[in-house]
Amino acid sequence: MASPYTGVRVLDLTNGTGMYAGKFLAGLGMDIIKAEPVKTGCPERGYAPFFHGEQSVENSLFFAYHNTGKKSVALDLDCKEGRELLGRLIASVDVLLDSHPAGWLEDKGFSFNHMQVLNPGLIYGSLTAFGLHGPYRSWAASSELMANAAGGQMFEIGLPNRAPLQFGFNLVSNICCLYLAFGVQAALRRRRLTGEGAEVDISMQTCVAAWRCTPYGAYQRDNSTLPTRVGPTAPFRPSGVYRCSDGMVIMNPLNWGNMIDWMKETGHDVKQYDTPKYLEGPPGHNRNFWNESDEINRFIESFTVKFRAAELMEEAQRRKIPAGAIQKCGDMLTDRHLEERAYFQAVEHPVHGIYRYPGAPFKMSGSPYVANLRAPILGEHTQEVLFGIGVTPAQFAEYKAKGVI
Amino acid sequence: MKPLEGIHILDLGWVVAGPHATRVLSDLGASVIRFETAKHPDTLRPDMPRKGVTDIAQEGGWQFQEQNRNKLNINVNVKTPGGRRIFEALLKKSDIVCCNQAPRSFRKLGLDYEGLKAIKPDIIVANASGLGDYGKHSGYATYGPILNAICGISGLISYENEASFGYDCVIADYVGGLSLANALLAALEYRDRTGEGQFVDLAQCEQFISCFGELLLEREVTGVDPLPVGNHDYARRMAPHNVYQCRGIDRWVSIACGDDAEWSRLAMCIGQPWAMDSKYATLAGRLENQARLDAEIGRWARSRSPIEITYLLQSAHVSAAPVLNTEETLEDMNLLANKAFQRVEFAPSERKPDSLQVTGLLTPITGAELHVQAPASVLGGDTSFVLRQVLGMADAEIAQAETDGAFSG
Repeated sequence: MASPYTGVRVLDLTNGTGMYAGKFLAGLGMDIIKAEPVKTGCPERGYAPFFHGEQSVENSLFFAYHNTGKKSVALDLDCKEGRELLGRLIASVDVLLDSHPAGWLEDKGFSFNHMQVLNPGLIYGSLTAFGLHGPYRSWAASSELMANAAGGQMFEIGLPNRAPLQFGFNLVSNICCLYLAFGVQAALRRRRLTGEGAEVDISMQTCVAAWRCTPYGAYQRDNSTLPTRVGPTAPFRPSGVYRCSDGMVIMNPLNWGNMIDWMKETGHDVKQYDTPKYLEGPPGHNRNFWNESDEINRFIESFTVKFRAAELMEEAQRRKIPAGAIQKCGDMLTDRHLEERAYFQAVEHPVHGIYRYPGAPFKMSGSPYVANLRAPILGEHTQEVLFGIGVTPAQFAEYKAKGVI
Repeated sequence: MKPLEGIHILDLGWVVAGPHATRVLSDLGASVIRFETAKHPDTLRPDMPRKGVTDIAQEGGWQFQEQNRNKLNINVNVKTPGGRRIFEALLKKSDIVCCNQAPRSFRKLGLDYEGLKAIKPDIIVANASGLGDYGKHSGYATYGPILNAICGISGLISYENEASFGYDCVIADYVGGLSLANALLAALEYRDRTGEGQFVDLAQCEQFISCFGELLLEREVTGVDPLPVGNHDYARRMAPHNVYQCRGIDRWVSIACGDDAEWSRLAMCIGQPWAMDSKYATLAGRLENQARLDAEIGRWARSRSPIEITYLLQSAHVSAAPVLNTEETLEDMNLLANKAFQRVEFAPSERKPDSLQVTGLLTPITGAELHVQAPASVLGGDTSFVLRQVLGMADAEIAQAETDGAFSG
């Protein structure tokens, strides 16, 4: 079975913000060529933690995860010959991915206009905090924190009278990489039909601003209500975060009758809550649950504390009560459901050995996502890639002697 | 030419994940027909309606507009013989059938890939359920908040070294929707190359986990579970890395320093003796003294406004941005320049407002200028158009379909 994009070549110049996009597209069969500095490799190779606790250019976990399925070309982009080679690489690929701030590539002599001369069909995919063309395009943004803040999402996350909270964990960057990958795929289709290249300009601020729907509606409707931080905000009741004997669950017992039956079966005192006042009306629409939210949540918690979180989730779900245990990463690694779906994939790497990595993000029956590939050794594919764009063995040796590659 | 012009999608999804996928596809030019029934209208329809709108079938509130603008809407019940005939006739003219139901509901709708393939051999069928099409927990009911818990996000987003407070916003739905849109374009490319359709089984949790998979690998390798970090950098590569309270009520600014040079520029901007202390000169020193560093910057920021700080620091090329609230987001000049918001205009009536701002094109591509053609349709608002113009059905056929239950339930 083949992949959807076999034969599509991508030059990946991203930093840590945009690296997930190339990894994702490698899974769909694109040939991702990562260009990185000679000797040290890209800065992300220095990101802790490291396999076996030992820092080396091959041992960064961040690098190993975000570069699976890519090829590595070691190339000095700060010298004249290196830039000539970069120009030849740009001319040879279908897609260029970048996530450095606006102007970074231009400073190296490669404006979009110039790149289009080198390669009229080029798809230039860019992911930046604020976009390539708006007034904040040259703002410094060393962290995804800035897009979290200026996208508006952050203002609502957190507890009352406490600081707004970011998502963190490179999560916003990686989610925005999905928008970049989507834009690149769409641009490739357009090129197939029209022959035209394109610029794909993903602004993390714009994406973040689109993940928060209700506030815009509330603001435009009532003009005054500026939602602020209220902790958990599920738009239905009863709903909440409940303590268990060993952790917590998020649960929405909208179908109250099921919840009451369960409590009665286990001999839990259901108090006054087994009455028409709470049982009538369609699930989720009984106002009493809003009016008495705190008391009812305390009542629910008096029941949940008797269970382990995983046990509570399973039994609640069996009874058609939506519930999810607040899991740790370690819980997911041993999750039997994910195991049954063969989600984690063993990936073998010549330096660090075999470890389980998160696998395919979806299962395609005809052209499966390839999820068992590893990250490249620094410069592993320099020769293969440069010979492929017409560099001769003699030239190759000369570049190598000069330290260009 | 718009990138996805000529692609025809039947959308049997609901709420956010599925409709967000077809929304970003339609933003780039795909044609989408959304199925809905009067008995089970989209849960989002009643949410945040315009003032004076009481009939939920009449138009649908802000959230519904956001995910369903530009789509045609038909009130056809595919579980009835008449509805199934209409669905199959449309299927023959379509490239994609897109859904985000629990596996059991997906099957009840009669959307099994093998069955649809028998009618349209190269059809692409996708279902984005919470936990996937098979597996021990595939029957679980999962709203966004439940997925956040199961995927570990609720446990990670909290203040530093504090327990989870149960973060539960719908981010998982957007991740699932974007992943679905990606999978569908890949499947289309494969079909155009080989002539073959396929089935996409998307478990929203699996894409979500993949977006912070580095942490899973870290847990696998080190055996240590990551903990909430508040607004600090989880990887300890940056300090300062936080938000600081400013002058006014609930006003905050974000500041980060990616390296020692950026810190020294920040220290110059602050211009107070403590900032020149050599213990802050290196990343190791700033991490070791992070609590004190945060307190000092906090004191400096408290008497200034977020915008004042942002401009001061950005002029020295130091990473800073205000924490914007809803009103400020809608007026932010960078978001406006990037066309992050678009207006949907309603037919003139006495109701005000007669237009609403929704978010715009999230993936700007050469040739893909987005114009929101129309607000989301009223429930079944395009049924007649689709049956007569798209399918060319005559009055008698439509009447027969109605007799066979097509528009019931």
